[in-house]
Amino acid sequence: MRFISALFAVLGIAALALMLAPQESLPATEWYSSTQCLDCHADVAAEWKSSHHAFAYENPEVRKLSNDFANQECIACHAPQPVLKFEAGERVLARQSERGLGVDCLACHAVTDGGVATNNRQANGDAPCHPRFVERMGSVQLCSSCHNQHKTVDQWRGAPDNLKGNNCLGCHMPQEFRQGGRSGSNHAFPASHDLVALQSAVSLDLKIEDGVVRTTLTNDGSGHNFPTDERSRAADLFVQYQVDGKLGEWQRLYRFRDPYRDETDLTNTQLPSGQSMSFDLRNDVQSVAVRLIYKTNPFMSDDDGVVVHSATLVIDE
Amino acid sequence: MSKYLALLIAVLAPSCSRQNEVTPITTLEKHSFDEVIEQHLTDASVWPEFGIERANEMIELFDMVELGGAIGQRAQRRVNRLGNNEIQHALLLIVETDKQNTALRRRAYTLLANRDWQSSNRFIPRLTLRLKYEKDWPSNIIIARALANVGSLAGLDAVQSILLNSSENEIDDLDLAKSLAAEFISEINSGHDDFKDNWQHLQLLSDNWDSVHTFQGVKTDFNQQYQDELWHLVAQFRSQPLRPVDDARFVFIRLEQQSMTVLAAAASDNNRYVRDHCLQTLTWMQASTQLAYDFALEESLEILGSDFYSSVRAIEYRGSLMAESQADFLWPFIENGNYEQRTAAADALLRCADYSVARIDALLIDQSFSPEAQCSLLLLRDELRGNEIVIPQISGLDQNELNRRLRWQQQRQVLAAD
Repeated sequence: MRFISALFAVLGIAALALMLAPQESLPATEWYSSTQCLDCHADVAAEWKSSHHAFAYENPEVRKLSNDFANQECIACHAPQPVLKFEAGERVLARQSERGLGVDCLACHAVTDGGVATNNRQANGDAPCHPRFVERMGSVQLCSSCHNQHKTVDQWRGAPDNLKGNNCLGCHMPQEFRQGGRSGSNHAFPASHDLVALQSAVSLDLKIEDGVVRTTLTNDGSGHNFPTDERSRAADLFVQYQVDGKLGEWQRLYRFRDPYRDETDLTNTQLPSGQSMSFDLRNDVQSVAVRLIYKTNPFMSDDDGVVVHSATLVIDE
Repeated sequence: MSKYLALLIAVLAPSCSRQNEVTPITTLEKHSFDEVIEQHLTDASVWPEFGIERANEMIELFDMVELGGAIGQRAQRRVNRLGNNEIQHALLLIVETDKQNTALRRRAYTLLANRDWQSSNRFIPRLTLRLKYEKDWPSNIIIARALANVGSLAGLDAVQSILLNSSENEIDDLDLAKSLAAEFISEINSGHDDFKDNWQHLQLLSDNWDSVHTFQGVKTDFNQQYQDELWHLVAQFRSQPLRPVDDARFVFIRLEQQSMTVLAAAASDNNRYVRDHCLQTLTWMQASTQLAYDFALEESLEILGSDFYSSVRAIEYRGSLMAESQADFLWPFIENGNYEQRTAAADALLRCADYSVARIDALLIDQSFSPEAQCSLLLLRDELRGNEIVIPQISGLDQNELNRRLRWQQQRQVLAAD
């Protein structure tokens, strides 16, 4: 009986040793699907699921603008193969599988040998996915494969140094504290769908200067044009006057936008990083109100857009 | 005792199953390829180098010819001294550059359509691209006519759209466009004046062009200058911005049949993007690329299929041929390929395989296929069974991806019915 107990104890220890043995003893797993990441990285996955990267392939706006991806050139960035499979800054190509996951974990993190890349210099290489630090993960080169198709990275390169921030990541992957006290880069990628991010990108001013009522929009918070992205985005500045106690209609003062290539009657009116644009307004009124509305597509109605900033100035009390 | 045994099994089981989950990485090679495009571009002819001002001068010259008299004769003598390349480049520059002056563009298109270019047809690709960007509807009809004169029916889609368009839409000069279209379809039907007859003839021509890219009326001269132009076009696949890539794809899928041989040859270029987009473009053209396959791809596909960068596209292309003979090439990929290869192989098999249901059933026991691959295999199984199509309900499968596969299945049925 004692012998049997001893045998089981030895076997049990052997089994435990086998379970606890370093993963290096196993051949590297092929990381082929981002669903494999979810078990260990649920918190990051939850952030990513709320992002527009996760939504990239199924987003109805994208579907509409790409004619349901009949414009197949759009698929490459909306369901890409791993970016690290391509030279730095080169464009990506479309993948075949799990397109519904959009810009998924592997799109940014998978390396060609089946491993996983991270921007964390203290990465725990013993973790099952054997993460390793890859310099490109923290560089604009990683993002430019897709985001320079519409010139955002070129705009960043030409931005004033004080607005360049910590590459793209400084604004779009800020450090977050997650449950359990661990910190990490936010995988929700706050950008134009996030009101706080929009509000921090530009400031809107309304005041009287030398007797002139003037409103000024300044791109003092983003390291690229406002709105960035060729074609799809627009920001409209509106004004409303109060005369004889009556509020007038909102009137569009200006549209900030880079037009589609075939909109030949329009020019690029984006506001470059660090620059301002002022508009002189009427001063023969009781009050002036201005508001900036951001639209994720240029055909969107004013009501469907997001009010980023607004201001009111009482002139004649 | 049995308690100990159960405990031991419970302890050991997870580690055993973990071992089984480990999938070996399928080894692909990074093959070396030749600089196919560069070799062709070394001696390739190029367009003359002049700008829009010179182009505008040239079109004024044509206007003066029409004035007749002494001025007209003098202008005609100057026109006669111009080469076809110069004239074509000038007219194309105008239509590519001048966005505001519709009348001027129409005039340039008309000159392209009315002149007898003999075998000088290198303007075909550039003019075909105008079908993507030209918004003036009458101009689109003139483009279609200019192209048809040199053996390309790339403009027939535009002609059909205009004739089918109801006048309720607010389109500038729709009536003019319709009347030009009616004239054009009569012209290509030997001048018949019965609209219904001309319309049916148009449909036949269009179907034939879509499937085999040939026009029995006029054959495109596949001369050296025309080929040079195609090599310049295929070189656009190397571009970092996607727009030139998409322009080149747009043009290639509308060109006559022999142009596919350039795509087939360039599919073995040393630039991975070129290989990818050549195979992709041929895939979009489906069975009409049989010539490309016979010309160059039959041999190179084996290397492309094992190439680290091009394998998936090569698999996809095989499927697009919709030929049962391709299925055996695809089978190893679905059995031993990596995740992407298996998806591509499942998609390709849906388009061409004629295996036993049992063979597909055996594949479906494996749960590790992507949602897209599962969908293709389920649709293939239904197809092989001869069952009515059951729309697969697969978690994680995008609706657009389901629709693509249903479309492939329908194409297969149409092909079988033919």
